[in-house]
Amino acid sequence: MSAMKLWEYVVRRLIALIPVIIGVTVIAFVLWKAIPIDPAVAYLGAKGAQKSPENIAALHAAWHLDDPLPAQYLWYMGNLVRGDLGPSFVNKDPVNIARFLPATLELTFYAILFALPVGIYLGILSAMKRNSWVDQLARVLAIVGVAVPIYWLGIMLKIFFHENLAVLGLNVLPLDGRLDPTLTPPPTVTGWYTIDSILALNLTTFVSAVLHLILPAFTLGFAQLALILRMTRSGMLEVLGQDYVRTARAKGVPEREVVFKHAFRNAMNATLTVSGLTVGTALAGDVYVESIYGIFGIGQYFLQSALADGFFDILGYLFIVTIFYVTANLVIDVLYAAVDPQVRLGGS
Amino acid sequence: MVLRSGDESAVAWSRIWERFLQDHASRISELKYTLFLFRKNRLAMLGLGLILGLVAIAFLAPELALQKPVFVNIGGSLQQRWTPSSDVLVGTSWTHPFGTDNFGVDWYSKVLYGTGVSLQVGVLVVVPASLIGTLLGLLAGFKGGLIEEIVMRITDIFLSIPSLILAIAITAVLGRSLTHVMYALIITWWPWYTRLVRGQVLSVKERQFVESAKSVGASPTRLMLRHILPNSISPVIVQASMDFGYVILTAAGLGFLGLGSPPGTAEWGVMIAEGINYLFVAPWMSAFPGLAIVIAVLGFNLLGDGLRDILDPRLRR
Repeated sequence: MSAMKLWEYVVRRLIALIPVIIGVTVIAFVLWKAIPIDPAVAYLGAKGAQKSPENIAALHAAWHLDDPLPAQYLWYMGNLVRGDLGPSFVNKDPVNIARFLPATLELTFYAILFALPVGIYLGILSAMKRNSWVDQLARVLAIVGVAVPIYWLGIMLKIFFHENLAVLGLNVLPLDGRLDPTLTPPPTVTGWYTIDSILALNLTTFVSAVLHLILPAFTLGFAQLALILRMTRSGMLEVLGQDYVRTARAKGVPEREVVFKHAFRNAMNATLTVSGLTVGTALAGDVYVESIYGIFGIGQYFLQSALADGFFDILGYLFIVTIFYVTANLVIDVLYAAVDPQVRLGGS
Repeated sequence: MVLRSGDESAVAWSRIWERFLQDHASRISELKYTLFLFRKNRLAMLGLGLILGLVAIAFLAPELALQKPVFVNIGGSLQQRWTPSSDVLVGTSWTHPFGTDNFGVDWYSKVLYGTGVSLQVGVLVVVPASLIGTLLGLLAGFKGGLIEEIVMRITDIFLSIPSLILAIAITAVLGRSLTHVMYALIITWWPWYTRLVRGQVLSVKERQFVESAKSVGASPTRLMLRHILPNSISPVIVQASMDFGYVILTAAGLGFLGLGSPPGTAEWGVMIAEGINYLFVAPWMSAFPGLAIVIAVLGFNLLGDGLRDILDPRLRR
C-alpha cells in the first residue's frame, strides 16, 4: 500500500481516539462523583491534616467541589490538558506519574520482549510439527499458561528461588527491588536502570538490574507467552493447509522460506491482534508483579492510591494507562495494515 | 397394556410427547449429535469433570471439611470466623492435608469453603454481564443507526481501559468488599459480549433465512428473538464458559490485592495474600489456594475450548 494512504489512515485513527479518551475521562469522572465520600475529608485524612471546617471549605473552593457537575468536569479537564493531574493523596503534591513510569515501562518492555518472540517461535514450531511431542507440550503450555494466576506464579517463583531451596542451586536470582541494595541507582537519563547503567558505563549496576528483572519479567510475560503461542499456532495451522503454501513447497521453495515468508506473514494477523490485548493485560499485570517483587512503578502507585481512596491519583493513572493502551493498539493496527495487503483501510 | 382409569391423561401426555418429538426431530438429532461430539472431545470432558468436581466440593464442603467456620453477625451482615488452634503453621500431614496458617486454622477446610465463594462469584458476574452485553449487542446490530453508534462508542470506551485496572478503580471507589468486586467485574465485563454479539448479528442478519422470515411478515421482535438471537448465541456460550474461569481468577486477584473480602475469610485470593507473610516458612499457605484457582480456570477453559470446536459450524461436519 502506498505510504500516503497509510499516513491518512494513521491520522484518521488518531482523530477517532479523541472521543474515546474523552469518554474515559467521563467514566473516571462519573466514578469519582459516585463515591459517597467527600474527597476533601479523605484528602485531609490521608495527609494527616486537621479536618476542620475551614480546611474542608478551602479544599471545596480550590477543587470546585460545590460547582455544578459539568463545571467541575470542565475544571478537571482544563487542568488535565495543562498536564496538571491534581494533588496527590499518597505522595508529595502534585500527582506525578512520570516519576513512576520508567520502572513499569522497563518491566513491561522486557516481559513482552521475552513473551513475543518465544511465543511466536513455539507457536510456529508447534504448528509445523503438529501432534509431535513438541506440539503436545506447547499445547499444554498454552492451556495451563492462561490458567495460572500471575499473582500466584510470582509467589511460587519466589518460593522456588529462595535460599531455603539452595540445594536446587536456584538461589541465584534476587527476589525484591530493582537493584542490589548495596548499589546506588545510576544517574537518571531514561529512568530505565538497564539503559542508564550502560550510559554510565557501570557494568556491575547493569548486571544487577538485569538479574533483578528476570523473575518479574518472566512472571509478567508467562501468560502473554501462552496466549501468543496459542494464537500463532492456530493461525499457522489455518494457513499451512492452504493452496499457495502447497504451491510454494511444490515449486521447491526452501522450507524455512515457506514458513516465514509465505505462511507466517499471513498467520501474523492473529498474533498481532492478540499482541494488542497483551499490552493491556501486561499493564494490568504490573499491579500484581510490582507489589510481589517490590518494584515501585505506576502499578504499585495505583494500588496504594486505590487502597487510600486517592481520587486524583486514581483518575490520573486511569488516564495515563488508557493513553498507553490505545496508543499501543493503534501502533499494532498500523503494523497490521502495513503488513497485510488484504486489510482495507476503508471507513468502517 | 391395561389402562386403569385416570391413566387417560398419561396417554394424552405421551401423545403430546410423541408429537413434540416428531415436530422437533431435526433439532433433537442435532442436539444428540452435539452431545456425541462433546463426549468424543476428551479435553472438554476433562474440563466438565473438573467443574462438576468443584461444584460437588462446593456443596459438600461442610461434610468434607475438618473444621467449620462460625458465622457472626457484624453490623447486619454475616461474617466468617475461623476458630484458632495451637497447631500453628504446621505443614501438610494427614491431620492437616494443606497445612495450617499462623492462627492454626486448617487450610484444607478453608480451601474447600472457598470453592463455593469463587463459583458463586463466577455465576453472579458472568450471568448478568453476558445478559446485558448480549441484549445491547443484539439491539445495536439489529437496529443499526444511531442506537448502534451510541452503544458501540460506549463499548469502545469501556474496552479501552484494561479490564483489571478498571475493576480495581471501581472497587476502590465503591469501597472494599466482595459484593463491590462483583459489581466492578460486571461493569468491566459486559462490553466484550456486546462487541461479540453485534458482530455476530451483523453477519446473521444478512443470511437468507432471516430474509425469508421477514418476507412472510415476521415482526421485528420475533425476527430478533426467534431467528437472529438463537443463531448468534454459540460464541456467547463459548465466551461465557471461558469467562467463568477468568472472572474467578480476576475476583481472586482483587481479593489478593486487598480489595475484596476481609482478611480471615475463606476466599482463595485473600488466602494467597495471607500466605505472603509466611512465604518461606509456610509455602503451602499460598500454594494450595492458588492451585485451586488454576484447577477452576483450567476446567472452564477446557470446557469453553471444547464447546468452540463442537459448536463451530465450520468444524462440525
